[in-house]
Amino acid sequence: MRGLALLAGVCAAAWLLPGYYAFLIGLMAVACLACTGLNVLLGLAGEVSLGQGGFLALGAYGVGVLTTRAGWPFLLAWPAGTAVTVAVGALLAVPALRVSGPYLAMVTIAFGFIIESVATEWRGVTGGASGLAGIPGLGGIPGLSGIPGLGDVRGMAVLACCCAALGLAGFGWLRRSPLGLAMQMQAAAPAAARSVGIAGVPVRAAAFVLAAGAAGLAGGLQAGLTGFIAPSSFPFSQSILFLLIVMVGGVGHTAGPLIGAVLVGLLPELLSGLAEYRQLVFGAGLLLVLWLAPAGVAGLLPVRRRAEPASAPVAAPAFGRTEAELEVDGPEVDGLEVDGLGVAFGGVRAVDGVSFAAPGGRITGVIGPNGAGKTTLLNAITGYVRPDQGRVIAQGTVARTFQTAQMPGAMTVLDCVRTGLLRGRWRGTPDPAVATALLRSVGYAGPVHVPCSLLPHPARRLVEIARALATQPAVLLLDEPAAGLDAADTARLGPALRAIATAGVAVVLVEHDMDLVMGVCDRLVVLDRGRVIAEGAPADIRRDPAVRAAYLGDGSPHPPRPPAPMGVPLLTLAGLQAGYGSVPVLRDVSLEVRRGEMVALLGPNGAGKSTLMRALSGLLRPVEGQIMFDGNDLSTAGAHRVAAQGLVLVPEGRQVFSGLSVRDNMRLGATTRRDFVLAEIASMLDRFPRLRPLLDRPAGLLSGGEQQMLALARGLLARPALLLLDEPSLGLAPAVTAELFDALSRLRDEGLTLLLADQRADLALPLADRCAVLTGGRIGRVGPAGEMAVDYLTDDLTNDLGAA
Amino acid sequence: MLLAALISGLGLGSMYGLIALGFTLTFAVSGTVNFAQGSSMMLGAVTAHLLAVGAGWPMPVAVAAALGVCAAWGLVVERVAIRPFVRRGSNVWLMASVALGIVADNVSMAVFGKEPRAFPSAWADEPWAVGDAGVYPLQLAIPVVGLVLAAAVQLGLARTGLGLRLRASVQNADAARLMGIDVTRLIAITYAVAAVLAGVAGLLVAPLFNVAYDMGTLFGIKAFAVAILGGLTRPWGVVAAGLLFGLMEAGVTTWAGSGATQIVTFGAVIVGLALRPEGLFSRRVVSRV
Repeated sequence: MRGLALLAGVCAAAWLLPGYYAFLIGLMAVACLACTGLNVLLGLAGEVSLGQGGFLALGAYGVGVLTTRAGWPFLLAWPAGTAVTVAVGALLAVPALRVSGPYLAMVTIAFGFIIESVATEWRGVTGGASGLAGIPGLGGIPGLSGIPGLGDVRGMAVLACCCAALGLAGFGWLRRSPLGLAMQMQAAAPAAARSVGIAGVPVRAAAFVLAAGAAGLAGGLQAGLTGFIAPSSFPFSQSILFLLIVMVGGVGHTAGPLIGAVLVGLLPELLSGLAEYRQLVFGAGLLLVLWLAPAGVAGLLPVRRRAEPASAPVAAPAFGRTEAELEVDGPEVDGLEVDGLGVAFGGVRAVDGVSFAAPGGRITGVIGPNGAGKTTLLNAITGYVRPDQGRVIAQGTVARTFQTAQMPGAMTVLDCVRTGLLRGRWRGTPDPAVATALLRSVGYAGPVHVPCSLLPHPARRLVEIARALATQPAVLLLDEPAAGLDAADTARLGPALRAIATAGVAVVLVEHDMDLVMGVCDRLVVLDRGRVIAEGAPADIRRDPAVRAAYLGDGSPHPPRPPAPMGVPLLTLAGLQAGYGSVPVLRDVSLEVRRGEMVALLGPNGAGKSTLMRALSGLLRPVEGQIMFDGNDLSTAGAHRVAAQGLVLVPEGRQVFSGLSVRDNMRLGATTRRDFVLAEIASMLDRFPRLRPLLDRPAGLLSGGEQQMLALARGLLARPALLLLDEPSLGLAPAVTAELFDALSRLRDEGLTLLLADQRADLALPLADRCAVLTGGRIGRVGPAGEMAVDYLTDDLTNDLGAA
Repeated sequence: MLLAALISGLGLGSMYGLIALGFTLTFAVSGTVNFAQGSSMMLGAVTAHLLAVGAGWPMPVAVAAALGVCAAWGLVVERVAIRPFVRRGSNVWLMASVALGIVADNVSMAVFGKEPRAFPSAWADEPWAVGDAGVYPLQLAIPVVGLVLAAAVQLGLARTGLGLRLRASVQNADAARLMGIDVTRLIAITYAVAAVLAGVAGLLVAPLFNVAYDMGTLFGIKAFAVAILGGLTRPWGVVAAGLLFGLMEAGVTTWAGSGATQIVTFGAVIVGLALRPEGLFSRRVVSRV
């Protein structure tokens, strides 16, 4: 309603004010229309185009050529010119959409320049550099000529305003339409878009062609409005200006192009006194807007929220199926069968001949230590990585969630789930009530009309499950749904999963949280180094010696060593809190490491060991609380400063510089030292003889064990005062692991202070002087390693495995 | 005619290559580029003109000062238009660097004036007769200087400690930080180096094309096309793409007329990217996971 009033007001102004103002208003409307098209591409599909000026020129030349050369009336030439523009846009989409980001920007820039050159060179048709003059507007149209003013600039201005208004309304509709939802999902979370059945290329192509079409319409209007066009009417800077209008106005906001076009259109008028310096003010002003209002002017306006649906319980629609559908195919669903699946990365077999079945109506858990290949298995089942052997048989569609929730931040929770209901279709009206009911049925109790970006982490997990369920899957794969959830949230997850299975879905749960896994799963599949090492009911898995060995090592702890003499505290943590975005991981960590001692940091997967290591090394910032190291507070220091202080991390997964030689990797270890001499590399080779013949080989070609030795050597060359080691045994064969821990044992004997985080308690405890147990982001127990060894192995960790 | 086209093409191409090399450096370390790289080129030429022709400074001093201005400009771009937006995780740096370029161009216009001016040079005074065409000594020097500089960048990357730290940061920024490398500062340095390379290009072409406040725009865009075609992260690929682009441009201009130049060259960019979406000289990197 307010929009209509605004339109009427602007049209009246264009009609009644002197002709110059009508012209100005018309030009702003043209820019608004062209930018609404660009907003589809940029705001919905997330692609930058610097060729919008080229499409504008195409539409304008279509009208110009057809009216002045062929004598067509404007109202006929206009749609014809637009049709040509759309066709060219579709043609350009073929090469353009093979690329994205800066590459796509380049294609559109090139397109703009080609159009400009063609307009200049094709003199017989386009009039060359002098352009085409005398383009008629609405004048001369039989039947309309009686209305005074229609034939001049006022008529065109009113037409342009109406078109701009229609364009804005169309954008508002598109944004919430199935196609618009698909565009936004594809742009913000392509993996998630794929998981709900959205085909990326057609969706992006539609955005590209819509943008071209709007520019074509706008170009025709501009030709009619100005009566004259030339290549100089469409300089490259115009394409930049359009991008600027959208960004200043607010990318993705319906009103963005309107606000931007008015601001950018009026500014030169207001600044006309500055004459020469106009552009300067323009550039500086744009920079200011980008700094101060990154979401554009429209982003500063208050958001009108829709009323939340009544909180009264809605009947759960059996996860997207109607009762009738459930009756029909519920009991017959066979679920998922995986047969001899294998995936190799380089020379490493991440998944190696895995076979298991996940029947419908049951929850099948997939567990295993870090690096066992669980996520790769999931990716292979869902086609995100291509398996090189084996097959996957699923009765019906397979849906999944992701380890890091894939959320389109700007979309509302409700629309996110509605996108799932559409399953990639461009038509249809996904029922908000069904989407809401799905959300409630998985335990999501929050508001549904808020953008996903505002959700706390646990809620995102639930929304993602609801979205996956909305596709009415026969099989649902969940990748660590409890990661980052606190105990209460996790407890609510169990019954929700059970309810999903009861509805006939085959649920596959990859999860570290053993309480959840043991409590809710019907069957378990245990992976280690890419292979299935055990399969069976949870109760049997608990007692399986192979499983215990995979998690704990061989389970026969060596006799602990006498503790080192007490030194002064070197590292003191007090009340450390840290996490990723909205996900708290470390809740309250206090710990002390004394000079010359070795502390083992133990804890189950997902307890926060790596997060603590990242926080200590400065890679994870900001953190709350205190990190005192050798008398300095390092809690705000970046990683390079922490390393320079002598607190050095050998990170999880080795992180060697794979394209650089072993020698260069070692040299980089000594970056912070001025007294480094090359002879130290030779003495490192005495310590790690395996590396000697590999010195000039790219580190990426080394085996996992060799890479771990290199990472350790690299860390030692920094002459650390305290060496942090994160999961050094991860994914290594037993013989190499033994060699590595021998090296660590020597370092400890030489008096180096060490903090070692490792899943393999049987390896870590015998070396350590003291031991700290991290669970749920807090330090649970701290004590001499000798006392903890027996205790921990028989008690805590078996608890973590879920044994009674 | 062939020889003249060849020399002109190699000259232009090595300039595109130099500017594009700057894109490569910053993109490899930070995943961002200075879209106002054309302004860096312009700043080099305009500052040298103001100092040498305007204020009568000796040429070597003026050139050194101009390159200093370029380096400072590169640092400003990174600090003002790139870093704040990358920190926010937004890709608005693209637009911000364009905006900063508009500011730089218009400040230059205010100081330098709107009209293009000639940049007299002893090397572009008397053409040498080469075959049936005249060639300025500068035209012969341009590809030599361009390729020598490109080789120097390559050598610096391969042989110096700074180059090693840079390569390490490109491969694994987090691990580089753990080595004590200040990656943020390295990124700033690459921006300064990129601006200096573009400044050199500006100084070299100034005597042939005149100096103007907007001389960098088209050069910058073509250099970006070259960088994209070369694959953005491959220094030699980018230099090769630059030479290819320059030769194509000179060839088309000579045999089909200047009107066809943009149509053919930019058409080739679109076709090239459609056929090789990762760039002409991309190659898969083998590594263990």
